[in-house]
Parts: sequence; structure tokens; C-alpha cells
Amino acid sequence: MAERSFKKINEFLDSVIRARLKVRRLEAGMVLLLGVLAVLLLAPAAVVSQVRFGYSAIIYAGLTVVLLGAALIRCWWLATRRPRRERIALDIEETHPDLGSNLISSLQLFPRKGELGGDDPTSPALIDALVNDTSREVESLDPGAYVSHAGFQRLGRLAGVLAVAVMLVAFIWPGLYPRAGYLLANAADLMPSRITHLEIWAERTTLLPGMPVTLEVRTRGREAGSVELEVRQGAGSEASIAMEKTAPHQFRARWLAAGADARITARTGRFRSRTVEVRVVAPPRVESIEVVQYPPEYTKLKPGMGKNGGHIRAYMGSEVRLAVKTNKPVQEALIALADGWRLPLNPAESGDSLGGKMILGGAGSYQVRLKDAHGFSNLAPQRYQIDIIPDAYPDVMVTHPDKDLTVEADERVTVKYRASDDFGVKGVYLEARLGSGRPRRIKVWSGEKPQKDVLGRHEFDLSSMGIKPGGVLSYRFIAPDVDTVSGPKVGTSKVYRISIRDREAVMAGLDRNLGEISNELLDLLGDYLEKDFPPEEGAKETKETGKPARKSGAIEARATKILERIKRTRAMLRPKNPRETLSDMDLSTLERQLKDAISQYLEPLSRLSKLGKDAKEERERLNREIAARQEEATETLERLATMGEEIQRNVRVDRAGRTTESMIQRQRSIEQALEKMRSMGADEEALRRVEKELRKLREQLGELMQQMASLAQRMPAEFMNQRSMREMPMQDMMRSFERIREMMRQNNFQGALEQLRRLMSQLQRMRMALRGMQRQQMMSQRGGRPIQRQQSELAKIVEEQQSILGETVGVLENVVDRLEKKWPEDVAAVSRNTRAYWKQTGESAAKPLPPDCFPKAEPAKQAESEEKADSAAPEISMLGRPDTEKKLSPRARAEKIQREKMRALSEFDTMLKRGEWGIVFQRLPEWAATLAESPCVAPAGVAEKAEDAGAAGSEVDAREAAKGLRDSGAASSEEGVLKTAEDGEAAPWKGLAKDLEGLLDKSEKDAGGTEIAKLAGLRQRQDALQKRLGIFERHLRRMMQVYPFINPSILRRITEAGEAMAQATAALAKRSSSRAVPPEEEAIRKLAQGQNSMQQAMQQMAQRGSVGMGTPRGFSALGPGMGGQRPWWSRNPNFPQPRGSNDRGREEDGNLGTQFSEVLIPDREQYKVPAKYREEIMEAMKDGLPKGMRGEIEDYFDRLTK
Amino acid sequence: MMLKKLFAGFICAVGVAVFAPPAWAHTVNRAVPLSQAVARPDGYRAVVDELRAWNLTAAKGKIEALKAKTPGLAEWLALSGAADYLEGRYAESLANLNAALKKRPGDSEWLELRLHVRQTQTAMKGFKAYKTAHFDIWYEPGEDAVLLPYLGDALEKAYTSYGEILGVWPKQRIRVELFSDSVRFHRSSTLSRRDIEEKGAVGVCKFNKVMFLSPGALLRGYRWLDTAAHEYVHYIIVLATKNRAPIWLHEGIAKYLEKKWRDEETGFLHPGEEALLFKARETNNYVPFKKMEPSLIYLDTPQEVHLAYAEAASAVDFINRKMGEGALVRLLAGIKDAPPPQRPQGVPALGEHNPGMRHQRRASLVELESTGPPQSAEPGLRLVAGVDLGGFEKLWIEDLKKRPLRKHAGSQVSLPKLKPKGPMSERSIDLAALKSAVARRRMRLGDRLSFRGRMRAALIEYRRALRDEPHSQPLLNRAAQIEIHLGMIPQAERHIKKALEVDPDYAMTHVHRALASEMGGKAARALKAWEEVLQINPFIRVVHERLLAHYERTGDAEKAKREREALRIMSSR
Repeated sequence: MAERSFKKINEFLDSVIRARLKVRRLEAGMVLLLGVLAVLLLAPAAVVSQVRFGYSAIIYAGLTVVLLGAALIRCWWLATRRPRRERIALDIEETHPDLGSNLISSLQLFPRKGELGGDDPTSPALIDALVNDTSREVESLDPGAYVSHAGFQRLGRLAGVLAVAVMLVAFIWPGLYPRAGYLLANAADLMPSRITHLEIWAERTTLLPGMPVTLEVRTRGREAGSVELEVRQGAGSEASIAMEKTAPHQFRARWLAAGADARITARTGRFRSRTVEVRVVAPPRVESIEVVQYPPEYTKLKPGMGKNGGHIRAYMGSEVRLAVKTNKPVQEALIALADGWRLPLNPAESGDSLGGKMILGGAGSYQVRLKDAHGFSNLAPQRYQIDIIPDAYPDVMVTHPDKDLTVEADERVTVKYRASDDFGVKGVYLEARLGSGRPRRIKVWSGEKPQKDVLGRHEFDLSSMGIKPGGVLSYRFIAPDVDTVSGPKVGTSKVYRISIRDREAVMAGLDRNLGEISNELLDLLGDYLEKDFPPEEGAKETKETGKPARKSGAIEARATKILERIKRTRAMLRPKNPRETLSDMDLSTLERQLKDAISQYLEPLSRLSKLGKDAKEERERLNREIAARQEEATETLERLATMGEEIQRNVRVDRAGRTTESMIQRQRSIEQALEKMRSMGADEEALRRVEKELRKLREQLGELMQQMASLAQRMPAEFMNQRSMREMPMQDMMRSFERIREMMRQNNFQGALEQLRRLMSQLQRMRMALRGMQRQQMMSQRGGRPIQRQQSELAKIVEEQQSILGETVGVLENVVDRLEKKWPEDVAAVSRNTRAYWKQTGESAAKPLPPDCFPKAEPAKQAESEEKADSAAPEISMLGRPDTEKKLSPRARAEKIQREKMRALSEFDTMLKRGEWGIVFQRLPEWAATLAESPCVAPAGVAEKAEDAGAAGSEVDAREAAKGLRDSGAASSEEGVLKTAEDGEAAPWKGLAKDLEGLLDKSEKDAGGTEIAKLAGLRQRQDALQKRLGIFERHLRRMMQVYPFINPSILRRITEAGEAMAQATAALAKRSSSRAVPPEEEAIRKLAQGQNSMQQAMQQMAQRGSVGMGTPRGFSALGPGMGGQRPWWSRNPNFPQPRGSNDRGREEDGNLGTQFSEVLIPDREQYKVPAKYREEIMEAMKDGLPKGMRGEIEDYFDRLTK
Repeated sequence: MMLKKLFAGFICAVGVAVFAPPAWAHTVNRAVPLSQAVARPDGYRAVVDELRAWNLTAAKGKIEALKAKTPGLAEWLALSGAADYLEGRYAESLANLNAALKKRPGDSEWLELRLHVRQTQTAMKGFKAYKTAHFDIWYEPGEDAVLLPYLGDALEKAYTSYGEILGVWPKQRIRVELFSDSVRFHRSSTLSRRDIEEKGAVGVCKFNKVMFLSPGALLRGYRWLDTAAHEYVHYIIVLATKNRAPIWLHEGIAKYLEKKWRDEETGFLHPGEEALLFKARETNNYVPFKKMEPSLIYLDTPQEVHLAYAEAASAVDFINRKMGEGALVRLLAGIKDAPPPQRPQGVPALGEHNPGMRHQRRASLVELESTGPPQSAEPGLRLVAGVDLGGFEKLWIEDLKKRPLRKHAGSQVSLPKLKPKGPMSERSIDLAALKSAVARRRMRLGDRLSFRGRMRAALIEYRRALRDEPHSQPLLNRAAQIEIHLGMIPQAERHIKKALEVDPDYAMTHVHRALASEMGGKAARALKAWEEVLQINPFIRVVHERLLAHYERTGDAEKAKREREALRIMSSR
């Protein structure tokens, strides 16, 4: 039973096992399907990756094997492996927990039932029972319930999905699976290591016939042993060319193109390259070329065809048009110029040619280069020449001054230029450069239209250019032409230079010249003095030196030489320059005075030698006269020598001032450098520069010291009067340079700066002192108050003389009245004679002048004589003579004399008719002189002598002639020469005068007591006045030594007036009013002339003083910057404005208001109390202190010094 | 942030408020006691009196005694400093004064003395001493060494000569300071620069020493040996009178005796001074003796100064002639031994404001330099003449009227002029000195002509210039120089004679006299003239050359050596 039951159980279990095997076979089939689907699904990846990765095929094949192998193994396992009963029993027990473990226990225990031991708790019965129960329970079970299809179903669903995907891929990429199959089939051959790739390149694929081409092949993958080219030309023509191996995987072959196209392929084993197509074509070329030239517009020329084929000859900038015909259409055509430029040729409108144009920019050549569609150019194109017809440069020149100039800083210089060009210039420019500066260009001509020839001028206003003396302005004219093509061609003139005269150098030259003049004047004085050295004293000296005293002729020659030198020196000067005005004025005065001195004193005096032996009295008188004359001459020469030195001294003061100015400026720059070095440190270069400047400064100081020493000799009082100058520590100043240098070397810049500032302060003081000296000097040379005093004295003398004359004339009138009353017959007789003479002279004067009256003088001589008259002009004007007289021609002079004669006759007639015998007597000498004067030009000898006598004025001569009526013996020999010529005319008048004198003498002797007393009084007054005039003359003479620039003619007038007064006194002593009146009148005339001269002298000296003391009004227009020559001593003009006396100093210092330039800004260190200041305070303490304040003051000082 | 700033500002303000006022008060209101107001201890005045009389031995003895009695007082240190200063020990003097001032800072008297000692020390820096039998001559090494033998010789002669006349033979060594420049002289002497530069003060006897300027510091030198002798006379007068002689007597005796040291007999008055005295006698316009206080250099004009000298010297001459043998010795003894006058009530003390004195003396140094009251000659005058000062003046004027004074036309005393530092030469200064512009111009022309070798012409110009300035020394000398050059000795001697009449102290005149004498074959006269030049300006090289030649010729080896040495020194400068 139990057996059966056991069997039933086994059967049940077997049925379950069989059902499960069936399901597993299905599952195996499904697994295999899935493997196939997986292989299919990998195919796209394999195909795609095969391109990049040569081993994809083999991998794909491997994967396929693995997948399918795995699927097959699974299938086999599923199909072949039976499950065991115990396993099934367990599965069932898990599904049916109510079974417990009966099923498995039955399976395991029942077969071992017989093997149970005694002590086994399990009995066979129990096992049987268990088997029976289990069998019963199994019977109720369905074996199918224990077979699961879930696995199969899952696989089935997966296979379905994959199958859909495969179908989708196959639909999308139809050739995929064949390729995949190919891959699987040729997986091993598709490995890279087993493939050779061929790449072929042709050098070019379009060729000209016969043109070689190089073909290159490169292999990849498996190394090819050899490669061949397969060339197929046309149908049936095929050639094989072995390629040369040039390197691993590289092959090359050269192939010559024939007339036809070709196809070329490379091959090695089973592998082939792509095919190269090669085309063979014909090259392009120029068939013909035409040239048309268009000259530039500025040439105004017409266009023309070229006649030399493609060769060109034209002006620069011409437009040239080319027409080129080619053998075939070209893709590109151009004009290739030799200089590299390329110009395109474009198809013409007609379509049969190519056209192009070019602007000629220079000579050269060109080619026409063509390129067809394949890029082939015309072979060896012809080269055409381009020649340029030249356009000339403008010709520019300076026509005036056409040389380098040396001018003054404030001059205006006019220059003329000319610019010409073949096609015209469009403008003219002036290029000017100052020194080595940057050139500046200005347009001086710019016409609306270009001109072929331009003439113009330009004026340089040098003053506005601010060129320093010694600077150079170089200039040239530049003219561009109208060339608009290559740009205007510029013609330039030669470069000229305008050098600015260095006034400092001129001043130095002036100084030298003045020194020489001064020395020569001194020698002149020395010669003159030694000429009359006492013989007994002179003999010793002559014995010693061996030099004899000079003769007067040599002195005169020396003086004339000096005169020439003065003229030359004056020529150096520019009177407009404030610094030179004074020198010019002074030299002018010196020249005039020297000339005067030559004529007055230095010419030999011959009168003494002509005197007879018995003329003792006359000789003595003349000796006295000569002695006086020598004294005058000596004084004059002393004055001249002094003047020479003073003029030079003024220049030296000026130069010293200028040097000081320059030093101060240099010091300021050094100070700035030191300040910089102090604050920022110094390098070697800076130190070297400053030391160099210091050396220069020291040299300047040395120079200044020399100048000052020289000035000290010349201006002793001015130096001694100024404490600052007297105590100027010149040597200390020189030493301070060493100290500064030493401090700099020790890097003590602060100390050096302080030392320099002290030096600067001393220099400032020196400058102020120099200014003061200059001012003092000029003030002293003005001579204002002393001259005014003398002028006032002279006015009083004139007044007194007029009073004496008035009273003398009153007496004379009484005499004449008495004459007419007491001796009427005699008067009538004289009247008749007079009338007859008058008539005779009147007729003579009315006659026309004879033709030989004016001998034809040589023009040169005439000019010379005029010049001589000119040179004497100042002296003549001083005498009150009209200026016009000196310029009269002989004929005009003659006419004037005739007119004067007629006037004199008319006056004479009027007085005669009125019976004014007093006036007749007074005026008779004057009229006689006028009537005796010859209108004709004197013979040559006489004329020369007259000229030599100096152009002091014929008026004086005439008066002398008139004087000769009364005192013929006093006439000089020179005057005598003239007088002889006129004696004939004067003789009747002499007789008349004598008659009149006789009559007047008669009347005067009949004078009463009152008249005699009056005349005696007048004599006393005249005598006193003469003495007063003598004192005045002495004062004046001394004053002239002090003020040498006063015109010495004043003194001469006064001397002459004194002589006239002496005559008047003598006449009054003889109780002859008639003889007293003419000298009294003469005295008044001379005194008046003296007054006039004095007035002029005052004005001149005032002007001179003003010039020397500051910028005179006349120069204000020049401005301070004019020529950079503002004098260092100049001051601002005085404008009338109320001001206190305290302001005067400031104004005289040349500054109004605050003067910044003089201020030294102290630095931090300078706020310390200087040692010197402390000493001064201590010094001040010594002078005693007010009682009660002592403590406080001492305390104050104490704190101040601390 | 703002609060922090405000707090900082507050702190600063508080700081300023707390510290600034006291600091300000200290600097501004620090009281310095007036030296006059300070009560000096007993014995101080007595020492000062001894110091003032230059009786240093007694003064030092008293100081030591006072130190022992009341040790530690600043006053004794200060007095020791003053004594040291008077002895010429400047370093020790400064040390003592510094110590005194440390004990009592701000004492104005001592401060001022210290300042002066310092200045003196500075002025004497680098000086060396040249010792003779009785004198220590301090000089600046260099050019001034030329002067020493002459100066030593002159001072020793003066010591003997004046000792015999005044009966004073100083026992201590006498300190003489010779200054080569006016600045040092000014610092050491306390003479103002104006007095030195403009009033021609060249020597002073003060502070127990004789100080004077080297002739090299002056333009043309001066009678420097006479000046040294003059100042030495002052020295012995101070010793002889305990510094109580009035200034007129001081100057009168000094002026009267200043030339007496020389071997030859000379008048005591310069022609210019004689001319002034002549004029004063004519016009009865004298400078009263009382007006001469406190110093002659404070008189109104240089003429007054020279007249005062002449009057004082004339008065001393009168005493010497009329008051019997040893009158001067007795006069000085009378002044010295006069009892000190009692100061009346209301009369200000020394150093206080004194309306009668036109020039206020300094308050502190006056203790050393003042002659002190009564500074009157009356006790002495009463002793020798029995009259007071007024009576003496009358007697003297009466006597003067009988004296044979000469007018000396054109003569005038020229003030010594310092050598200018500026660019000036002697010639230009000569020019500036001429009053007549015409003469000035002619002299300049003459100078220029002579530069150019035109001697004859130059001479004429000088002669012409002399027409306007007939008494001009430079002109007379120039004319003489050229005349000598031209061999016109008689004419040159005429000019020299005139120049000597005008001013015998013009060195160049003596040079020309010597040259003219040599050319005229008068060797003795030439020697005298050369030696005369040494007394005025020994820095003229030719003088030494000529003297050397002379001494070598006569075999006077010692003097020849001196001249050779002088030439060596002058060559080495």
C-alpha cells in the first residue's frame, strides 16, 4: 500500500516534471531568438563604426558568436536538464503549506525504511503512514498547477520588442543587414592591418599642351610594394606608368600632357585610387595695343594718340588710356608697371578689346598681363617704355639785397624776390629761421591765378621779431609751382642771412674808440702844453727824452686826425638807441668844439711875424693877446681832453651797469639750480653745469672789477660819496666763489645758496650804486643851478648895458640937436655930399650884374664848399645867422646882397629926409658895410681864404669891415684881403663918416656941465659894468672847465662884449657919446648872443642830462623791448602827478610801485636769525638804553637773538 | 566718528589752555632784574673802584678776601671775570662770568661785560704777542709784523721819556693791541664804527690796555707811533690819577707829550691845529674845557675837536712852562689824592640819567672804563696854580695871547681815512678830496698825462690845478714828483716845503723830500725824511729799500737787518 502510495507520489511528481520540461523547451527557443535579434540590433553600430574604427567588423563578429553561443548554451541547458523530484516536492510544499514536509519526507524516508535502526524513533509504519497520507493528499493536486509559463511569456515579450526594433532598422536602412552580413563574412579582411588605401594628387588638372604634370600617390594601411598609374587618353588609349617610391607610403610620377584630355588612376594589388581627370588647353596673348594720352590739366595741353605702339612719352601726371585686343577671352587682364603697380584692363563696351588707364607717376615701363579662365597667363609679355617729359622747377631768387646783411635789431629790412616757372607758380613763401631754431614759413604772395613770373618784396620788421643782438636771421624764398599731379615742385632761393649787430660789441668798440680818442685828445693837450714849456725847463727834459717839442702844424694835423676818428666813431652809433644817444650827442659836441678849436687856436698865427721891428708897442699888445689866446686854447684843449674821458666814462658806466645786470641774471639762474639741487639732490652733470656758470660769473665779476677800477679813476667823487661803493668788498666777492664751490663739493647746497644770495645782495647794491652814480653824474653835468645863476647875472649885465646905452643915446641926441642948431651950413654941406653919394650908390646898385660875376665853379668844389658851410652850421646858428644863408648859391647870394643894398639905401634916404643925423651917424657904418659888399664871387684865392677863415659868418666879417671905417689898423690880414676888394666901394663912405665925425666932435666939445657930468657918470657905470663882466667871464670860464659840454662860443661873445665895453668906456672918457654908442650897441649885441648861446647850452645840457638819467620822452615810443636795448639805468618817463618827496627815490630807481624783480624770497633756513644780525643787536645794546626800560629791552633782544 | 573728533578737539583745546599761557608768560613777561636795582654785597663797590683805577693787584686781593668772608656769591665770580678781562686773560674772564651768570642769570651788567669779552676774544683771534722790556704788543701775524721793531722802540722810548716827565713808571707789563682792520678794532675798543670811519678815531687807551689801528688799515697811514705814545700817556695818567683826570687834561697832556719820545725837538701842535688856535685867539672863540667832556670826539665838528686838542695841549704847555718844575707831576698827584666829593642830595648816581652829559655812558661797562666822579682837575690846579678851572682858563688865555702862533695859511688837520674796500685807488681818493672842480679836472688830466709819459705836460697841468688849490697835498706832491722826475730839484723842493708847511703828516711829502734830497746830494736830510715816513706809513716799500741801502752803506748792521726783515715780510704778503 505504501508502495503504491509511494508510486502515486512519484507519478505525480513526474507529471509535474514533464510539464515543466515542455515549458523549458519553449523558453530555449525563445532565448535563441533573442540572441539572433541582439546580433541584428548591433549591426548598425558595427557598420557605422567600421568607417572610423577598422576593427569594428571583427568585434561585431565576435559579439555575434558570443551572443549566439550563449543563447545556444542556454537552450541546451533548458532543454536537457530535468528537475529532481525533491526539488519539485519542495516547490509544491511551499505552494501548499498544509502539506507540511510530508511530500519531501515521504520521498526521502520511504526508500530508507528498511535501513532504519532499532533506536530509530521513526518506524516503518510511520513512514508508510506518511506515504499513504501524502499519496492521498497528492491525489487532490493538479500537476499543471505547478508548471509556470511566466518565464516563457517574459522572453516572448522581450523578443517581440526586439523584433520590432530590428524590423524598424531594416526599414530605415535597407542595405544595413547585407552590409552587416558583409562585415560578419569579411570581418577578418576588414581589419586595417590588412587594407591599403590609395590617395592620388595631380599638380594641376588643366594643362597646356606639352606641359608636364607631377602626380603623387600616398598609401595608408598595409604597405604597398609598388603603385602604378593607369592613364587613359581618349578611347582605347591606355598606358600604365610605374610610380617611383619616394618615401614609405609615397609615390611620384611625372607625366607629359599630350594634345588631349586624360584620366589617371593609381593601383596596387586589389586596391585602386580615385581617378584624376586632366584637361589640356591653349594660352592667352595680346593681339594689338593702342595708347591715348591726356596731359595733366595744369599744362593746358590737348590729348593725343601714342605713335610708338604701346610705348608712352608724356608729362608726369598725364592720363594714359590703353586699348588691348587678345586672342581669346580672358578672365583677368592688367597693366603691370615696373614699379610694381598693377592696373586692371576691363572689357571695352564694344566687347572686342580690353581698356585700361593709368596716371603717369614717373618714368619706367609696363606690360600687359593676361590670364584666361584656367589661370594661364600670356607667356613672356612685351615690355613697353614709359618716358616722362620733364616739368622744370620754379626758379626763385632774391633780387635785393642779394647778399647777407648786418643790421640793427630794430631796423626794417626790405627784400625783393622773383619767382618764375614754365607752367606758373601758385604762391611764394618766405622761410625764416632765427638762429638754429625751427624755421617758420609765411606766405608772401598768393595770386588768384598761377603766374609764370612773380615779382614781389617783403619787409622784415626786426624789432617785432625780438632778435637778440648778435643773433642771425636766415631766410629764403620758396615758390611751389602749379603741378597738381606729383605735388607742387618747390623752387627755393639761396639762403641769406641778416645778422643783428651786437650792440654790446658795438659798445665795447665804442669804448675802445673813445679810449683812443680820449688819449689822442690828451696827447693833443700834451703837445700843446709842451710846445710852450719854459725853454730852460724844456731843454733838460728834451735832453733826457731826446724828443723835441712839437710844432703847431703837427698839432693841427693831429687834431684833424682826431676829428676824423670822432666822425668814424659817430658812424658806429645809432642815435635812436637810448644807450647811445648820449654818446652821440657828446661826440657831436666834441666834434664841433674840436673843429672850433682847430680853426680858432691851432692854426698858425702869422700876424706876429709880419710886424716890423719898431712896432714894439704893437708887439707887446699882440704878445698879451697871444698869451690870452694861449690860455684860452689850453683851457679849450683841457676841456676837450676832459670831454673825451667823460664820454668814455659814460660808456663805461653803462657797460658796467650792463655787466651787473647780466651777472644778476646769471646769479638768479644759478640760484634756481642750487635750490633745485638742494631740494632734489644733484648729479655730477648738474654740479658741472653750475660750476661752469659760476666760473663765468667769476669772470664777469673780474671784468666788472676792472671796469669799476677804471671808473673809480674817472668818477672819484661819485665813488667816494657812496658808502656802498666805497665799502664794496670786491675781494670778498671774489673769494665767495671759492666758498660756494667748496660748499657745493661738500653737498652743502644750503650754505652755497646763502653765500650766493649774499653775493647777489652785494651785486644788487652795486647796481643801485651804479644807478646812483649815473644819476649823480648826469645831475652834475646838467649844470642847472650854476648856469642859471650865471644866466641871471648876464641878464642883469645886459639890462645895465641897455640902460647905459639909452642914456648915451640921449646925450648923443642932444649933441646932434646942438649941431643942427649951431652949424646948419656944415650940416647942409654934409647932407649934399651924402645925397650925392646916395644917388651914386643907388645907380650902381640898380645896374645889372656883369656876366663874369659868377665864375663857373667845379661842381665838386662847389659841393665841398657847401659841405664846409654845412659843417660850420651849428656855430653859425649859434651866432644867430639864418640857416638858409649857408645854402645860398652864388647867384642867390648876389641877389640877396643887392636887395640888402637897396634896403640900406632906402633907410639911408628916409633918415636923410627926416634929418635924423644921430641915427645916420649910428647906422652909417652898417649901411656902408652893406653897400661895400661885392655881389660877385671873389677870385679863387680870396674865396679860399674867406672859407678858411671859417664860416663863422660873413655878418661878422661885414661888421669887422664896418669897424674898419673907424679903426683900419685893427683889421687882421685875412680881413684885409677881403677889404681890399671892397675898398673902392667903401672909400666915399669913409669920407662921409669922417665928415660926420668931425661935425659931431665939434658939437661934443661944445658940451655943457650937465652933459659932461652925465657922461662922467656913464663912464663910471660902463667901467663898473666892464669889471662885472670880467668877473662874470672868469666865472663862466671856470664853469666851462667843470661843464665841458657847454658851447665855448658863449665865452667868445662875452670876451668880445668886454672889448666893446672897453671901447665904450674909452669913448665916454673922451666925452664922445657918438663914439660910445656903436661899441655899446655892439656890446649889447654880443651879450644878447651870449645869452642866446647860454640858453641853448642850458637846453642842450638839460636834454643831455635827461638822456643820461633815464628814458627820455623822445624814446618812449621805442618801448622797453625795442631791440632788447632798454638801458639798465633807464627809468619810466615822469608823468605829472602829485607825489611826495618820499616817492622820488623809487621813481629814480626806475620803478614805480612794487618791484618784484628785486625781491629774494627767503627759504625756510633764512628765517633763522643771522649771526650778523645778532651781532648788530648786541652792538645796538651797547649804545645805552633808557632808564627803566633796560630790563624789558634786554629781554626783548635776548629773545630776538634766540 | 563725529564724537571722536569733538573729543580730540576738546583735549587739544584743554592742552592749549593749560600749557600755552604759562609758556607765553615765561617768554614774554620774564622779569629781568635791572643791574642797578640789584643790591650788591658789601665790598663790591670797593673792588670796582680798584678795577676802575686799573689797580688790579689790590682788586684781586680784595676779591679773595671777600670770597673768604662770604663765599659762594656770584658777585665775586663776576668781579674776578672783570679783573681777568683787564689783565687780558679773556678765556678765564669768560669762564668766571659764565659761572656768575649761571648763579644769577640775566644780570644785565655781567651779560654785557661777557658780550664785550667775547667780542674782544673774537677780535683778538689769531693774535700773537711781541714782547719788549715793558710792553706786550699783541698783533695779527702778517704784514703788521713790519711795525713791531719800530713800535717797540718807540714805546720803550716813551716809557723812559714820559716816566721822567710824569714820574710814573708802571710796574706791570703793559698790554698793547695793534689791529689790522677797523672791524676788529671796533669790537675790542667799543669805539663805534662811525667814530672810527668818519671821525678818524685810530687809537684808544681803555680797559688797562692801549689799542690802536695799524697804519696799514688806513689809506695813507698816520702818525701811528705818536698815536701809540699818545695812548700810552693816557695809560700812565690813569695810573697816576686813579683814573680821575678830566678828559681835557688827559688829552692835553697826551697831545703835549705825544711827540716828546722822539729824539728831535718838535712842536707839539700840528700846523693845522696851530692855525685853528690862531683863529680862535683872533676871534676869541674857544671850546670851553667843560664842553670837552666826556670825550673830544663828541664835539660838533672836526674843527672843534682839533681846536680842543690844541687848546688842551696849549694849556698843558702853559702849566709846564709857568707852574714850575714838576708841575705836571704835582698836578696829577693833586687829582689822585683829592678826597672823593660827597654827592649832594638829588644828584643822580653814576650810570643814571645825567642831564648835564650829552652822551650817556653805558651803564655796566662804565664801571670799568669811566674815570668816575669827580673827574676834575681842580684839586690839582689848586695845588699847582691856586685857582679853580675858570681861573685857570683865564690865565691860560692870557698867556696864549702872548704866544707866537702862526696862521699857517691853507694848513688843516686831515682826519685819518680808512683804506676803502671798494674799487678805489689812492689817486681817485686824492681827486675826490679836491674842493675845486677845475683843479680836480686838471689834476686828473695831469694824472692821465703822466700815465702816458707826458711828464712836462702833466707838470703844467698840476701847476695849473695848483692855481685853484694852492694848498692841496696831492697836487703839491704830484708836482714835486714830476719835477724830481724831470730833474727840476729846486722847483720840487719849493713844492715840498709848501706841502710840509700845510701838513707835515703826509707821508708822500717826506718820500719826495727824501728823493729830492738824495738827488740833491743831501744824504743826511734824505735819511731823516725816510725815517719820518716810517712814522707815518711804513708800508711803502721804497722807504725800506732806501733805508737798507743807507744802513748798509753806513755799516749799521742792526738797522739794516730790521729793514731787510721788513722787506722780507712785505714781499711775502
